[in-house]
Amino acid sequence: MIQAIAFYLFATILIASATLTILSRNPVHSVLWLILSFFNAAGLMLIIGAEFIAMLLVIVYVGAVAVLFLFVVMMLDIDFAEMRAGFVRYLPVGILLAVVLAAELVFALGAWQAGSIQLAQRVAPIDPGTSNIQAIGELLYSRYIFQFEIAGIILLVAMIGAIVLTNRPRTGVRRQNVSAQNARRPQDATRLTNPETGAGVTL
Amino acid sequence: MIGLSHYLTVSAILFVLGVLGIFINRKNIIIILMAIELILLSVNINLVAFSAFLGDLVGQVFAMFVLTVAAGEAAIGLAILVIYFRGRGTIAVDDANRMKGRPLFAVHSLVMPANAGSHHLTLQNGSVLNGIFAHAGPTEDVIAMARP
Repeated sequence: MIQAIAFYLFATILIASATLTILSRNPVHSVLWLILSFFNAAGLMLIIGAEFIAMLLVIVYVGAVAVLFLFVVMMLDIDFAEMRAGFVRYLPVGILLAVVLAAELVFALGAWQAGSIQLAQRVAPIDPGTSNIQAIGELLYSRYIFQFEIAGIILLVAMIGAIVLTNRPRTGVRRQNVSAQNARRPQDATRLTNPETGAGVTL
Repeated sequence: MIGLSHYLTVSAILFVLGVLGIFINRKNIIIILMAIELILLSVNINLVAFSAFLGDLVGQVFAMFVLTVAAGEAAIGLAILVIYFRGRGTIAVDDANRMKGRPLFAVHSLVMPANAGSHHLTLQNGSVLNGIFAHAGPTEDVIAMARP
């Protein structure tokens, strides 16, 4: 009963906020609705016991990706009126396309329910004794270690790519020249002068 | 009782909303990227729902990898958007085909400048290099965009 209430609550808010994400005029509002969508999707995943993925969704999607979106949206100077230019023209065809796609998905769902599930062919059966995080950890670091490392490399490539793309030469930045600092000799560092009183020392 | 089909319905609706979002927000790259994130979220919900109802952890492991790739793709997409905005001053998607750029090698170093004091290359109308340099400079509309 509680599960049903929670499911319908999360699902309704999820779909509503997803709709408002794509229909909002203001991109900042869109990002905020997207964040709400992510939270509700995490709630949905919590209900069925996938708490690791749910927390990962909150931490990675909301905490990193959505915040990145917010940064970029607030940084760019966006002309709202120009952004909505093609909206009315494309909306009927878009709705038609969406209805067709939804119909196809409903057909696929119906066809799946007609068949049977082979329960014995589970690749990684869930052990009810261990917690979700422990089970995923045992699976990820043993059988799927290669994919895990590749995912790390993907993130590294993405990070390097983003830095290389947005890097630009900055003028007027004072930097350390470490080799010059290391090559400095004591006789270059100081000099003895005897200035007159009142006259300064030129460096 | 909440079954697998409920979750699949939610996931399907989210997917359709994502595709619709890409379709109607043609000019706004940021909303397109957000709609792509919605699509990936629907796929994640689908994977996790199947994983929970079939008792198979592989779905959740794969959902984690989808999450990883989605985060990386969002970062790169936003980086491209930022430098696009830096160059153009707007994020209207229709102008994306103007990122064509210049040919790989420039021949102007072999040509003597017309006047000794300046470093600009002036092309005479009958010059052979007119053909090579026809695409090397910015087009008129780009110049018009860059003009304040």
